[in-house]
Amino acid sequence: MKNLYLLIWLSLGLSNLYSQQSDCNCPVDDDYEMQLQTALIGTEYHNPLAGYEGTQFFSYWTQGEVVLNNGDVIKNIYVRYDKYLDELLWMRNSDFKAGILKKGAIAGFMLYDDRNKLSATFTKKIIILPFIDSADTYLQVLVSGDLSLYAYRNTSVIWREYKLLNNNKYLISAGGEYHWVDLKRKSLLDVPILQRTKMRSVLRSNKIMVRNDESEMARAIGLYNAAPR
Amino acid sequence: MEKPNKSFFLVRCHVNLLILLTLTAFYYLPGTVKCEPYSGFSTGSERLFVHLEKLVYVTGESLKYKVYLLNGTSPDKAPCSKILYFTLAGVEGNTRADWRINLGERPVSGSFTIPGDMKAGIYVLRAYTNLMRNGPVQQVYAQHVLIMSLSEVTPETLMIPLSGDTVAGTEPVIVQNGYMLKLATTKASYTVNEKIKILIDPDFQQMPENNADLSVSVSAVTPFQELIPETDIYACLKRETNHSEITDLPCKYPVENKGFILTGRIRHRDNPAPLSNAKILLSVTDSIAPQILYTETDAAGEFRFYLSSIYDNMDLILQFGDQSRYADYIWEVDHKAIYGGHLSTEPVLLQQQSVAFLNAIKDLRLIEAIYTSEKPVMKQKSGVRDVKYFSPPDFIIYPGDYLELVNFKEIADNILPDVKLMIRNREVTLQILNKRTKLWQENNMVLLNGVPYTDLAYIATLGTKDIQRIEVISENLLLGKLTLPCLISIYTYDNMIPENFLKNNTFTYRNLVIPNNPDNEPIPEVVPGEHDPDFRTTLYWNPHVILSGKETLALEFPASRFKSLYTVKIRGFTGKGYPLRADTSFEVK
Repeated sequence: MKNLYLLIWLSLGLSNLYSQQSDCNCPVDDDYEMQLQTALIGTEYHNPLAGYEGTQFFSYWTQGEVVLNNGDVIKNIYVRYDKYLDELLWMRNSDFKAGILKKGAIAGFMLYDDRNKLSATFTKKIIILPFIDSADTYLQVLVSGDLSLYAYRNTSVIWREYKLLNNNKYLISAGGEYHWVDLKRKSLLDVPILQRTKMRSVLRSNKIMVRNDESEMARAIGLYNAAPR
Repeated sequence: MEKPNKSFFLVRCHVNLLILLTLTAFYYLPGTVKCEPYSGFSTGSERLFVHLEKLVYVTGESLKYKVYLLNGTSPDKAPCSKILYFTLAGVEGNTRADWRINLGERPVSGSFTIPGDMKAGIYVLRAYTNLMRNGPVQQVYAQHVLIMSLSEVTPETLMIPLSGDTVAGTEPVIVQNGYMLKLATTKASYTVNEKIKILIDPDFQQMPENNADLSVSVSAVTPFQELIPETDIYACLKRETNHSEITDLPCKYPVENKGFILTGRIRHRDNPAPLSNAKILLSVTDSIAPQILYTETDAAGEFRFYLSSIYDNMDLILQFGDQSRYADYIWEVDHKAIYGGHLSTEPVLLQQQSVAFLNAIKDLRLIEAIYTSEKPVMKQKSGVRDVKYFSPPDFIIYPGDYLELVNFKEIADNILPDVKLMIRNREVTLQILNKRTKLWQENNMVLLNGVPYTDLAYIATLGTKDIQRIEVISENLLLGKLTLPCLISIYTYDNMIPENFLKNNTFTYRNLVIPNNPDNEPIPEVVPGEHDPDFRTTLYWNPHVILSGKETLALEFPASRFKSLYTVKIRGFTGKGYPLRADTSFEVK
């Protein structure tokens, strides 16, 4: 019973604490958030791969939050990530037209599932893509910590067969350095920014098989971050 | 061991629950002042004090100020508002001037040149944030100042307000007595042009904090000290009289914590019927890239734009986005001015000594205007440009690179392959090829120097001699609820928009902002005899004196030839928001 009281008391206190900004007790201007939603600007989206077989999009239209470069957050809009174009789409409520949001204005975005639970977080990074030059790219954050794991959700096209192929790539980052990694044990252990022996020990003690398994790779990085140095 | 009674547990549970509910109720009661204007506004959320260099001015002079805006809820934290408004209004309602400044994390300083056409008399200088407009007018900072006009004869009587326009409140401010300043001059009197030294000693009595942001003014004592008293720094920090009254006030004016909010209303010309759901575009003339914002009017016909500092000191052009004229509707923009209402005044006959003083400062103003070299105006850094939503274009054409083409039809026919301009029965239409759909789309709007422009007949007349460059976006743009079917941006050499178009189709708002002094601007050192004759009545004004540590701070400056009694005034706040005040005086013989 005591624990229950403590929980209620803490939740009341915390809800009050988080309803204010930490820096100054500025009130949240609901109208400002509404204005961000209604005043969105983008180019009209036309699907260049309509009728192609495969997964062009990361998910279906879902509720999302878009974080802008200046820190503003646009909430409660329907968004979708086009893996082929590497662009974030939003659906205009008034006429259900889809638009491409300007990548230059966006720092990242979050996608929520039907139960309003966070399902994926994307961040924009400048990375050097294979066979392409460095570019602003949306990366899905799989693990965030001392060692972070990102997924570059990409789709390549087989034009003759009207097919799309998943071409996901993974990046490990620490201290501002980025390294591509394959879903293979050897590739993971070869990443120069991690301690090979420590990672090997994490893999062995937790019986983790990272081969072609993205979630196991994420688990390994998470356990590596949690393990003592 | 005896088993505890079941009812005992039940009673304990109920008692615990009662304690919990009581604690929660106390925690949420409105008696605790919180800065949450949207759930129950409290003007206690912001407190303002302005230190003025002096209180008697002549037209054309600069009214120099230092602004201390405090977060009333947590004085050690940054205030919420980022915009401050000033109103300088004559007590007789004759003339007024309004201006606006941007606020930062730290106190800011600046100056406002008193317009030459202001009539002589007593004025009320008010300073306030948009949030403070929700409270009573007595809550805003107010200070009486006397302004003399160079073009008028010095008046022999002045209309003095009967009731004080000072900050209201009954509860005294909590002043931490541990924070004191000791202020002294090295001598009681100085000779003309002699170097004066003042010593500021922070006597913080082992208080944990030892830093403070201060402003220092040294100006001649005037015969008007009783008629125009200085607004007390402590009085500005008074709490409200009645919390419950204030928390019940509706919050009409939002806090401008992101930047300037341009608010307005569109209503019918003949009756107050509002225009709801109107699509509105805000643009500015720009030679680099369009900066267009979109909003809609609500059921009351009100609209709101949140503007970053890139829109400062620009003419904001407002127009309907769907190209509807709504000729019967008028625009009303909230100028955010505070009107103190009618002040009861009484005439006060000035003594000969006072008239002589006023004549003297007018003469000195003329001398200063002639002999003092004008300081170059510091240009404030423009803010970072917003994201360019209308670039990169699909192609850019510089007509000057080609043979001369006399009008836009020739330009479209010859050097703009995806653009057609047609003139049929004196009607001009424009078509652009959409690169996605491969369809020709009609567009009745272009961007002329960044401004949405619908007079295609005028565009048709522009040729190589007029147009510097043309940018074409060959895909549809979604702008709020509007869909722009492709877009042509035309930039002319003169970077102008025809006045007739602006007059008939738009509403223009001049977004004037007075720039602040740069934070670390060095105080110009006055060298005695630098300009002759030196009759300054303000010997020293330093709005940025930082006390750090507990050492005595020494400030030096020369006396002028104006023999008078001078007062040294130091005002400011510690980093935790405790007010500091110190005064002393000396004579120049």
